[in-house]
Amino acid sequence: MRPLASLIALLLVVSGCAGDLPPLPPETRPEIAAEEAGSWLAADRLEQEMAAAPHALTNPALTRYVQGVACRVAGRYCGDIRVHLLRQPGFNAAMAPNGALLIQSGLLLRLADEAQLAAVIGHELGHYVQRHSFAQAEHARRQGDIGAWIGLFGAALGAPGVSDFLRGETVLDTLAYGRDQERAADSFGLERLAAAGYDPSAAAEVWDLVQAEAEAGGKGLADRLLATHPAPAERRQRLRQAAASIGRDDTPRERGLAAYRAVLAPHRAAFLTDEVRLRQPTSTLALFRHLAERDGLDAVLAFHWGEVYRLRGWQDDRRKALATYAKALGFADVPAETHRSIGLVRRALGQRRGARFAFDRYLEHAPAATDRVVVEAYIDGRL
Amino acid sequence: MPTTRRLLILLLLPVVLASCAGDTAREAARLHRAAGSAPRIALMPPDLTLARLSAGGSETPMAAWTLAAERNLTLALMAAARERGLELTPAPRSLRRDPALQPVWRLHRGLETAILTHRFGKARNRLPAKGKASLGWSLGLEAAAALRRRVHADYALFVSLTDTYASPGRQALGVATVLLIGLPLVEGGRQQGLATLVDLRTGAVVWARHLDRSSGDLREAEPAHETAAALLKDLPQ
Repeated sequence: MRPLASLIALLLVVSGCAGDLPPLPPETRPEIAAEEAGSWLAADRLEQEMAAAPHALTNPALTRYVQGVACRVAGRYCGDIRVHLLRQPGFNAAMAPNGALLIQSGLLLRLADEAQLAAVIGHELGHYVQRHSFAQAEHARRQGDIGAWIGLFGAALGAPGVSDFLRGETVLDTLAYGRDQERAADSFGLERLAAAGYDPSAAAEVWDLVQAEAEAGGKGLADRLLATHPAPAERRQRLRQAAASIGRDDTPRERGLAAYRAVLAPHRAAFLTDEVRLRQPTSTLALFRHLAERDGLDAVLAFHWGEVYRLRGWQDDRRKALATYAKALGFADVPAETHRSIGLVRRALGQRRGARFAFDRYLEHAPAATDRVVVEAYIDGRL
Repeated sequence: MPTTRRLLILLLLPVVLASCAGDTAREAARLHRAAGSAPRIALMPPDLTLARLSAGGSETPMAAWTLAAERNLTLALMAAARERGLELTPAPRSLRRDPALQPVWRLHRGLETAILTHRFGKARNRLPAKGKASLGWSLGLEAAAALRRRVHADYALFVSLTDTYASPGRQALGVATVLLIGLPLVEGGRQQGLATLVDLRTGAVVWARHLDRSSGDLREAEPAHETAAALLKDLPQ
């Protein structure tokens, strides 16, 4: 059994080594006869559907802005990358083998500035240029082939346990292979980030964000991200060191804070609402606390923060919700819905006069509210 | 020895049976048409994926095969329909990219999944009301009208198909398995497809045929005719 195990290990190592493909040149599609063209064709079809998907975020100004950042990072690959924004909470982005770059709105909400966005795009660009999807599929295919042959010989020689041993090794090896790809994409992205004139320390900061959200007990996408990516601690360390070695005193370190905030501002309320609707209060509260510490509290964030408490409805949550709405009322641009939510909480607490007062103010601030009939019924006591 | 042989036959029987599996459900034997003219049937751009099956069983989608198959199958379906006295008008490939029709494609794919599961699927998933002569699925009036406006036809014929082909490595593994273990345990390529005919006046799926077999080849023009004929067998006239 032991020589057989060594043989298997050797075969797996050999198959793993064969995985590096030469980088894809700019403005190139694989030849139609190439195996890689198959994954492109499948991705082309998905991209077509994506553009018309119900959760596609088709805002020309926002898409143009993100596409612009992508082009700046991509350089000569600019024409190969097509940005698709998705209205989806959570912290993730993905690159299809054909250059379709999918970015969730939840990611835009979490990033601090343009440099961090450029860092994410640089990383995803690394997956594209280094043809990671195809390499990963080929790697898995080779392993499966070797596994099938070893399984056959094992069964023929009366050692069926070989297959089980092999399956475990294959899973571990595939995970390791994926992590190697992530490291390669990190290095590639960091280089592009610096070359485009952005502050290279933004890359490590993105992983600080992921780590912070995971530590806050988030059972959301941050977890799934961590399952396929190297441990953030190691990764941040490496990115930080690499950024320090790139940066000289005369290196430009653009952050693009003002531009990023300005373009995100009209969408922020909607993206915050998406997070609230996930109904994952623990991680959402951690996220909102982080956003408030970083960017300062504003009316829109305070309102949504209160909504998390109101919808969670734990013992003390009604009081917490009212206290948080009160903070929102301290700003001139308080969303009208804040008054409605105050009314709902007071109503649930049996504070009829307070509720009526808040509902009145809601209709005052939002005279064209679509739920006017219901709110009027609350005020009259008919409901 | 005879016992072994009988056992082998028993073991092989499902493989043989599965290799020629095709099943139809249709609600009417005859299509409606304007007096004195043939029914107008639009052939939707077929949704195909041809892939190579590696020794270990992973599927590598092949672009060149898939694109050739789209051409081969479209022509073969038209010829097979003509033999049954029906004219198919192929809709342009660009229809698949039409943003206004994306909800219709998505809806139809949902119907296909339902039909595959509850009419042609495992026995435990089949619904008693979905039998040989009744399908009872519909795209709905709105989707049917949207499609009808684009293709100007009474019926739309949809074909979805995945087709895998054993690589030389898989074929070698199959031979080696028979030699070493004595049983054909390694499955070759499979052709799995669903054809549906939708009445564009009502949205109703009036006919569906399912193929799941280990034969058929769409990579070349000539053998594609056999698949087309197998798909359109029992198509109402």
